[in-house]
Amino acid sequence: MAASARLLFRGAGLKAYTANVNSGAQSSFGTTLLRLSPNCSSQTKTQIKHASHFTYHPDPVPTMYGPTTKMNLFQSVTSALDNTLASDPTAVIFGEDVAFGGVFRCTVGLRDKYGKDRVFNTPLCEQGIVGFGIGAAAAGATAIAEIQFADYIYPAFDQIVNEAAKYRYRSGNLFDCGNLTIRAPWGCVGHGSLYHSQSPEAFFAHCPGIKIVIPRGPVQCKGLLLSCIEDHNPCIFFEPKILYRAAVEQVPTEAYTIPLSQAEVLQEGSDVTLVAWGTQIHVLREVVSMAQEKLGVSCELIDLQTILPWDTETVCKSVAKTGRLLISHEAPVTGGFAAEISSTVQTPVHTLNQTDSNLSTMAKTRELCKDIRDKIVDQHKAGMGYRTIGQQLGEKATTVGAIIRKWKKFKKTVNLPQSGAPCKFSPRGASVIMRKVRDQPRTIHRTWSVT
Amino acid sequence: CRHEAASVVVSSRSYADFTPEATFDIKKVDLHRLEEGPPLTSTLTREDGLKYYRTMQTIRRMELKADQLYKQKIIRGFCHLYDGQEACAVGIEGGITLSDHLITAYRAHGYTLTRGGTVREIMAELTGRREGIAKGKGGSMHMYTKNFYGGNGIVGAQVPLGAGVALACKYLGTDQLCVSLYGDGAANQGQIFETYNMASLWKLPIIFICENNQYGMGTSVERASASTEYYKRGDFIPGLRVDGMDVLCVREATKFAADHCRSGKGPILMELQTYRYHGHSMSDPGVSYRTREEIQEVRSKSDPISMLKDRMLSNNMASVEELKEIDIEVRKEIEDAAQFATTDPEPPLDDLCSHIYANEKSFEVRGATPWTKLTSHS
Repeated sequence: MAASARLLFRGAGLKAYTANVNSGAQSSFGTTLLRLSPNCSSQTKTQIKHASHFTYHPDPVPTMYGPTTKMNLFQSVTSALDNTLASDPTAVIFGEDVAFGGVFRCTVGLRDKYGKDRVFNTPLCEQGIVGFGIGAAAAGATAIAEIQFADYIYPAFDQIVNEAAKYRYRSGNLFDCGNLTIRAPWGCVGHGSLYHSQSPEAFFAHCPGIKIVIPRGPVQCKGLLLSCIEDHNPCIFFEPKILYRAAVEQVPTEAYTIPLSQAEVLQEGSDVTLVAWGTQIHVLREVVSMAQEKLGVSCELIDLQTILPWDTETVCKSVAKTGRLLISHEAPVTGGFAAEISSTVQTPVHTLNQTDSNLSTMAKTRELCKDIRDKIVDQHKAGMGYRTIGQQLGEKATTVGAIIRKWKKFKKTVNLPQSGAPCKFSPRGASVIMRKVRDQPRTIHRTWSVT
Repeated sequence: CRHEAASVVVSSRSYADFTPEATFDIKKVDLHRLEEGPPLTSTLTREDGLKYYRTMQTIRRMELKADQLYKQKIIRGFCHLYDGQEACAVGIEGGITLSDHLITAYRAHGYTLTRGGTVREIMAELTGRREGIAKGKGGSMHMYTKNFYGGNGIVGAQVPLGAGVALACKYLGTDQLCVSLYGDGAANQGQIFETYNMASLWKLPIIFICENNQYGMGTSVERASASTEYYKRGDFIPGLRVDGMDVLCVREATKFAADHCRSGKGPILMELQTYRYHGHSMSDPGVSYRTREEIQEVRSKSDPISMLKDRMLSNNMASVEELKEIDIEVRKEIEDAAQFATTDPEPPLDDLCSHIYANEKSFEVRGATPWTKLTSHS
């Protein structure tokens, strides 16, 4: 079964990923067109394959936690578990196939080092694993349960939501299972299909009493995992499986914690806030540099890290500054966690899944608030002309005209996400802008004066 | 030419010289909560023998071809191979009819074939092409045919489903039954015990079959289960433990179990002791938790195809040339199917989002970017 970890990276596309490790930001397009392999016949040559990619962007070497060594994501998990088993005599690790090291090698060597009564296999029963973990935690052991793939966590859903999350509350703080941490590989991997690719954080986000944490790389992973283990609440720790090998960083060997429920601003910006977690952070890093280079848009990138309870303050403060929010995650759109963030933030947002965000929303005119827009439409309906309305409300006639045209076309005054490429500018307007940016690449939206 | 002459000779010998049927002793079956078990002998007709031989050989060759194609990266994703366990699929099918129902987990290629799929369709499905049995959208783990409910990825989840199918059979009064298969790893899932209870309570016509191939992925049965007597795990459900490498044994046991169900006595549990030559899946070499010697031993002593072949040859039910001819035909069939599977075009992009819902107007599904839309047809 050690070989199963190798399989995940045997796919042709992933050669590109591992080759790009440690190479920092690259300005390539997010969607790559791949030719079919020579194995396929001439009949299929006309079909074009679309593939998404991401380039892993490692964190800078941390200096405040002591000496570091090179580790990939699964090694950082092993290191965290090693530190825990060493310092906490009540700590136990269990799950399917963890004894020999786990299907992703996250627990390699731990059984030999700490003994078979501290690192042991469970039979194939997720509900049983989590239920057992809750009991062990309630009795005082630091229980670290592994669910082999996040896709298999659903038999344990009842135990997590009905038992673990509510234990402290329903016993009036007499009992709790805060010592429980559940780890599971999470997210797209390229060939996982229905049952080895899921991102179920949204299902659990609907449940108070548990914490959900998703790291973006080895340094974060070790720190966050140790925080989860220390935390006196049951935690679910999702590890992006595609990063197990692809993500390599210098990780401190000693134990250290990264605080939960604190989002990290990875890059400051002024035009739009980008929020993501896990693998998507690396996609958005590329987007940030693309947007800066090609569109002159300054993005603020936030890694949410803790999904539940999430850091509303950091995100809202950022959106208040930039006025725009874009969230990217792998899970399905409807009911995905982006919906929660966007409704909390309550400004017009674009919510996206997976690959690139096309930030062709460039330097905009000031967006008028909904009241004014509605007023404009009402006045137009009453028969007023554009110029008159503009004079009355103190807006340009062209702005008024644009709003009314939009209302006529879409029957709405709100700026909702629409199908088709965003078309804020007419082609002539776009070429004016492109000419200006080509002449002066350092143009930013503040120096822009749009007519 | 000489080959022609030999085949002419064979065909002229076929009716005169071959034994039309023979009776074989089969291993005694262990019983749980049963007074009598299946018979200790089994009668095999020449016709059936050749049929079983051909089907088992087809499964074997198909799995080996899939192995080859996987290593060439023509088949991607996950692939769980069934070679070594052919006697189970063929024997079970010999004990039931195509109008009965069957559901199993992900090691489903053999069952797809015995339940009416063709090698072409199966291989095209493995390579994800248009003519695949699930239109290229299912892959290795999700193959379906009439009265065969797959092909299921989540371990253990298919067993309660099987009970539901059995209930439908009982309710509709069709005298059909449902065979629900699972493995030794899945035998520890809670939902299986819930299903035992429901099936027994309502006397559903369901045959639970545990294909015990000794290893759940990489974990041997002793390390996974407190009781490795899987045929007794049904507790209040009568059980049989059967040698799963002998197609006749499996057939007789299945017939016995089917009679039990059809006579209204309720569910019955069968444990088939079998073995898989390949690892758990194509990403598992299969030798890190067991020795090559063990695999070799099983191959030489209990290979289902060899066992049937020896039986037929020693009782003069077929000739070596005849069986060789079947081998050649099977090989050709597999080659053709593999060729077809590699050249068939992939399903059109329009199909990617179809069948999310049924009987809904076509709606748009977001593609990989917010501006690529795919249409879902029902």
